[in-house]
Amino acid sequence: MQTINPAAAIPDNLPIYHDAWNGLVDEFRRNRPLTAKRRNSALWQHPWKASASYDAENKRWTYQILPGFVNGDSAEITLDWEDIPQVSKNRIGESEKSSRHEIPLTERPQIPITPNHFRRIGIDSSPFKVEGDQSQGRFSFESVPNFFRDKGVGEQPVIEYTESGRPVTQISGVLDGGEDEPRLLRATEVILTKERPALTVDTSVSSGIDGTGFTNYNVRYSTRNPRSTPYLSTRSSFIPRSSPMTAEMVLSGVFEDLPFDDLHVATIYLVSLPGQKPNSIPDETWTPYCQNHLYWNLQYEHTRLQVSEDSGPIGLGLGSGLAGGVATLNINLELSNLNERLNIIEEFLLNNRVEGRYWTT
Amino acid sequence: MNAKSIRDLRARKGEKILPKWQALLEYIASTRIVVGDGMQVTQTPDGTLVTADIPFRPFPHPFRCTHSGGKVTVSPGTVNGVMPRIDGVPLDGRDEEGRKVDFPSLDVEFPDEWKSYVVVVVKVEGEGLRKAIQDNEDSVQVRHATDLNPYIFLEGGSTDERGVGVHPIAQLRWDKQTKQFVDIFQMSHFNLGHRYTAASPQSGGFSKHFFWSA
Repeated sequence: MQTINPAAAIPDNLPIYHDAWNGLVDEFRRNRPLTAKRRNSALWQHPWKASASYDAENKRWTYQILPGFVNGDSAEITLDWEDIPQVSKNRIGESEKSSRHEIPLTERPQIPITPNHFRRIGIDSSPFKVEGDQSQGRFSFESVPNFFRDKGVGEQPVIEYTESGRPVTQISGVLDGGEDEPRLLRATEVILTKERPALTVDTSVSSGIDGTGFTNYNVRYSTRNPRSTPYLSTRSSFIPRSSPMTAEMVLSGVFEDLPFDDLHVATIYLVSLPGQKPNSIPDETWTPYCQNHLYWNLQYEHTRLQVSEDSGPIGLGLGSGLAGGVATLNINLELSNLNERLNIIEEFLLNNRVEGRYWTT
Repeated sequence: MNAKSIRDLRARKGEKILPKWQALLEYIASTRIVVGDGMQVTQTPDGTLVTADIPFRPFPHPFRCTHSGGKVTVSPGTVNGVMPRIDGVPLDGRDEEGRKVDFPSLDVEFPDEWKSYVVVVVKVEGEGLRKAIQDNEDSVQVRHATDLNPYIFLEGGSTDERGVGVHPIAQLRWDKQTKQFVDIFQMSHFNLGHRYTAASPQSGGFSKHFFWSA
């Protein structure tokens, strides 16, 4: 549709084609009031409740999270000076204009969402993984929630390939126009984070003077950010923490302890008008929907570090090295010793791991 | 031309536009949505949906704090079944014989910072590992605290201070310049459970008080 300024003066001899004119009438049709209702779902606004709105002045979407507390501390969000509310500016003072600031949710900041914080779901989404091999496979896309499918959001594409040299043999949902113009869907995640130390194991292998080899596991704690207050962040996706740590995972380098604990606060969705072009950036014509995942204030605790003053190495040496022609009895004995050493290591790691937990207050 | 409906504004191919243009401008000028506080506007192809967020009604939960005239009142709640007191008066405003006395309230003043707290204070007694809430009138109280010791809640729970544990139930916000009360934020919405844990290596040598929703 052409963008037409209805206030512009039109000379008598300048033609206006009928389709442009009717596009203007359709624009007006969209803007006329259709219904007015009050929202009854928010009889009580719980902590961490999310809401989204369009900032017409800065041409961007923003969201707000009602105040929530962890351990008596209001969660914070880091914002540029231009984005922080006036009450925060009054508190901080003009002398700090140049820097970014941590603003508590109690000061009701409107948090901007940058376009790269949105992920696309539906007809213009990107695959998050490929299943298969060179000869046959399928691209996997995030599925459209039923709630939005009922509102006319287009289904995610189906892209498969079955022959080497032919990258795609089936594709649907991307180019199909159809009579019904599908809507586009975007989503962003709001995450609550509490920093804590993480358990790190550094592994080194070296040789002794007598030629025997030994492996050195250096267990230490690391912190990413010495920030004690909980804080919010916006991401395009949220992946919950995986399975608990085991000694085997740590020693083999598969598991990496992360120096924080996350909680999923809310998901903010934006739905376009029908017929919006794929890959469009959300503007004021899109409709927001907020899905809340957190409803109560929290307490948080992590296991306390026990740093031993006497932190000398724990000797876990093996018996004599195995040479050719070793009997089964010797192998079983060495395996038994290995298992015992592993149990010692596992007990040490489990006693010194750092875990955090949230609970409602 | 005065258009009576949108249909009057539509043009057919070859029809003169200027009269309809003028009518459209008049029509548009007469319909304008002005969005006020608490309103949300959603555009659809057929029109605009206007939604109003009515002011929320807080539900009457335990320990609900309200501020008025320099005083904070706290709705009745319990800690391990014990009703806290303000200046010796239970939160439900009844004496030992169940007669209604008056609802107690906290006097709150500007705390020299932009925030302060309404806290539940619990006193425990006993020996060694087993300490329980004291069996006297002042064992559980509600007070106004100007700050929470940052070491108390850094790693969850309240560090024991000579048999006393503290749990915030609301935060008060103040204006540093005018020294006036601004807002109150509820933290606890339920009755509370409490437990004292003795010092141990896992707790860094600190005895702690843990509170949870009961």
